[in-house]
Amino acid sequence: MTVSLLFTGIIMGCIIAQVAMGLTLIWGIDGFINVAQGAQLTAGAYFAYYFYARLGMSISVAATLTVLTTCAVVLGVYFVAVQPLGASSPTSKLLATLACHMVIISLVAIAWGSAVQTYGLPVQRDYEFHGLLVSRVEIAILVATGAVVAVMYMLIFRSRLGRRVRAVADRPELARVAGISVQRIEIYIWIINGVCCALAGVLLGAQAGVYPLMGWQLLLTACAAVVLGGIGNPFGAVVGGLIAGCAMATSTLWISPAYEVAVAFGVLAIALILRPKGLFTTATGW
Amino acid sequence: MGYVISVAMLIGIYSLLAVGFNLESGHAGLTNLGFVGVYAIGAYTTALLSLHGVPWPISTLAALAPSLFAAYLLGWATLHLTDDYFAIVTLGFAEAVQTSLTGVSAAGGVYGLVGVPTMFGRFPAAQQYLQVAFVLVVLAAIVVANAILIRSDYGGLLRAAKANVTAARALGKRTPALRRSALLIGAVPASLAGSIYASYIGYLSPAAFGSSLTFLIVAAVALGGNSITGTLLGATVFVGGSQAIQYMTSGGLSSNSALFAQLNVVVMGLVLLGIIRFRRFGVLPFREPSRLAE
Repeated sequence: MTVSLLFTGIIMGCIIAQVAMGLTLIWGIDGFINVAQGAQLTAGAYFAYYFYARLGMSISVAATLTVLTTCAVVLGVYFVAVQPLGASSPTSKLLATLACHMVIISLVAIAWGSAVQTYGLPVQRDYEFHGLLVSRVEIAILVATGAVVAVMYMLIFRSRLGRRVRAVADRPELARVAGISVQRIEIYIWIINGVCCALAGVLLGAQAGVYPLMGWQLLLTACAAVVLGGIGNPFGAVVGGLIAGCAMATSTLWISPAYEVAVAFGVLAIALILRPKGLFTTATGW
Repeated sequence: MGYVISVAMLIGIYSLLAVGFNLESGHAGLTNLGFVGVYAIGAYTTALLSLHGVPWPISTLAALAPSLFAAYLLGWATLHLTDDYFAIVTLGFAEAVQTSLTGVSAAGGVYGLVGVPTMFGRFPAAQQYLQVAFVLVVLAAIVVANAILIRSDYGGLLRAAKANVTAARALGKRTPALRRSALLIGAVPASLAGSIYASYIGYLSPAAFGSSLTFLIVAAVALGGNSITGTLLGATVFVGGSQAIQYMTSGGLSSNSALFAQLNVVVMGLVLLGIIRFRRFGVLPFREPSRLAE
């Protein structure tokens, strides 16, 4: 019982972690909370639904198109709501992305309706490990999260781009003086974020179906994960996501699942009270 | 006529929310996106008390107690946070209240509460006129009190704390107490709005207390600006506009009314984006009274 709950929490945590990785990069570089993150995930999930379930494309073609279209939406948010506001206050950017959230969610509902829909994936038997039932989608979630973490590690710590990203996150003015185009780094970060959102959206859609508010309901938890992991630290966000997912799943042992969002809120509030700078902060933030 | 009155009711109720939010965000600099949570607590408390036979004026006043307590707790948990953290945690508070309501069986769960006794139920012939008169009187009282407040030294102090917390503290102003009080004062109209909504509409469901209401009010205040006339104008334009759209589309085109409701949100979102980008202080920004301008 407890083991399967923990497993549910880890699966949830993996999806939260993917959303939180993108969120934390933007939070670290642009200094504000991207409220449209959930809507971006919803968009990704619905694009996959449209290409795969409605148009009947093969999985690989649908996946490629989903990543491309989601990145287009995410870049749209950046160029409409973030980039033009320049150095204005984090709160106005937060409100601007809130506006984007509402626009995206409404457009999704107009295009595909508000009801829960599924990808109609072929039904397959769950695998059994010592009494724990694991579905193929859950294996895909675990593998994909591992892959995203690995790629993110290579990108951030082993590439030229990553070095520049870390420089911009650390001291934007110094980075600019050193000849780094902060604007271009921001665009790269938003594209990486788009891939994270597309992936999380597809996996969550495959696991639980698609509906317009699916991403919004993850936003709070993703924020908790970001704060727990330390803002700007994608690997902290993964740990934060797993902690938040497991906290939410195991809380159902004691209280009704109806209070899941309240639990997420509690985790966020406690995280901010106890560790306002995150669990793993070092002097440089990395 | 009945339709015009119901739109006026909603404009009155949402204007109360907007006035409260404007005091907190426009003057105290607290982007409190949790006011819908307080509104929901006011509405549900009033509805539950009224369902147990308490007359609606008493349950409206009694609902202030849990609402203010919730606002106090929210302030205790969040006021040490900086702006954007504050916004996201308060937003989380509203979401937590909404989803928790679906789990409370005493509050009717997902189905909500039905058969809440309505205001002025003893005068069925004149009920709707009395209701709209009541909401406008309450709104007028709140607006006058709010206008006096934001023009007083207290309002000036709030804006000083908003503009520069460190400077305000250095001048010996007790900014934490100021911000806490603004959160409590802003909760009063939100709770009243919830109570009036409950005893006007007669049924409550958690779906009515979601993020789209938060968004409506935030967009209205952003459009109008921080002056009281601006806030009222924004609320009137957005609430009246969305209701008019619903009205025009519900006759004959009823299958499309959901579509138009969604389109309406798209338009509001675009207006909000345009305002933030091109006219940051809204259509009618607040002008500092000359007495306080120094």
